[in-house]
Amino acid sequence: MACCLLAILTCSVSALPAANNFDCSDTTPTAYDAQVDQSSMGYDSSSSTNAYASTAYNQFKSDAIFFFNGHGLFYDDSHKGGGIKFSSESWILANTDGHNPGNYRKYISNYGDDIDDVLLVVYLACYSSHNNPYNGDLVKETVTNKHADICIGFDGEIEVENGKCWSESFWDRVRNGETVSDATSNAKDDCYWQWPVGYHGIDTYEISGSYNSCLTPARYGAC
Amino acid sequence: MLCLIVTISAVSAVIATAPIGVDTAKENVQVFVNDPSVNIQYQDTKCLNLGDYYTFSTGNGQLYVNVQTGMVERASFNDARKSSGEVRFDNARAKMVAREYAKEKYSGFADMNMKLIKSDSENHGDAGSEYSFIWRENVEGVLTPNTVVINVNPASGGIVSYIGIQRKINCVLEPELSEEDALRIAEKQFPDIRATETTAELSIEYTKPDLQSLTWVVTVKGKPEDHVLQGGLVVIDALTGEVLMTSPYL
Repeated sequence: MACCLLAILTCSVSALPAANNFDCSDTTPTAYDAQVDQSSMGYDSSSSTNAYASTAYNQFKSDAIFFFNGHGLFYDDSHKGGGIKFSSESWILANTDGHNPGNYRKYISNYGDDIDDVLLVVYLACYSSHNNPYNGDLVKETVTNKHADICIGFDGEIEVENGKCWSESFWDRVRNGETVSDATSNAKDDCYWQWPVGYHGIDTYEISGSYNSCLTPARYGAC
Repeated sequence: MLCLIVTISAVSAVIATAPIGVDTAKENVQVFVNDPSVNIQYQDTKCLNLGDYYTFSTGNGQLYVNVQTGMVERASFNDARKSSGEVRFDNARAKMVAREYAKEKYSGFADMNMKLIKSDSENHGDAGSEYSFIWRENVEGVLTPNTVVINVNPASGGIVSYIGIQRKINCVLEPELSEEDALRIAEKQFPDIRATETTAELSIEYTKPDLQSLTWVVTVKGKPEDHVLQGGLVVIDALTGEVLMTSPYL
């Protein structure tokens, strides 16, 4: 409740709802393109390349929209999902049972009610909606446990070019007023008929939360 | 006589490639949706390697009409996406629905060598699930651009989305590059990985606007490094061996 009041107060003073976008592999310029579309929808949007997990983790708390495009988590023993990789071997993970990749780690499970007013989270990465027995399920942790409104992840393998295609189409479509669900699905079909023909994993998307919402008018999520 | 034939051919070619107008395309959308109450609105024109398209909104979805042929090559139906969470159609029944729809909307579907390459259910979390059926034409072991994609709601049996591409094949079907060489070239694109699984398929792709290319589409999977899946997708010109695209996994 306190964060809602704070968000309303913040809005009433001057700030537009914040959006942060991260390219963390050879995925540029998807974060910048998302920023452009979000700005035209009325969000105070920014983008960066190769950010540290700690930077993104801290900004997440003030975001209406959080978008990540980069690598997902895959262990040598084939357990996968539950994490997204930032610069310098830093990770944001859903949680941990003691298995910890990389050098620096931040956990969604450690948020209190910090992200319960986030409207939309997009984890565009391999296995980002897959439940990993070591590090949990990013999408579930974000929406079910931490109460962000909507989260999109991918259960399968995604590759760079297909991810770029989906991202470009998705943000363009939500800017044009499509619901998150419709934009996600239609963007998937936009990718099918690009070369090489096929979905190539982009059809493994999962959405948790208020999937029939639109992103306009620009706003924070419901607490 | 030869000149006359050439002239007639040239005229025919002009007629065949003359783009249709938006009004004609709109009529084709009306026929496709088969519902006079639908309010069809022209949106814009999109230029893809596959061709140029007029796009139309129906309020409940979006349709793409090929500017040259007038064919509706893509449609989505948002209401059909709504899910009750129940599964009333099993895969076999949904496939029957999809196949009948393909026969209705895709000219010559039953007569072509359309290979079913996907017949799965995709779980989209709270947004429900859908059956996804993908056919691609197979000619002499080569996948052509001719494809049908139909996604079906497992609760209602409704068509969620449709893609139907139909093109004349105008590139050679015999590769100069063997599959073995294609796999070798593809693995070289990821020099530091330990490949565990590689697959390749011959496929005709529109790598440039209106240009069909015979390609090897290769998938390379490797052991993870630094907790990240290695490998990705490589597209190689099957005549020259040129690498046209390398797309690593995220």
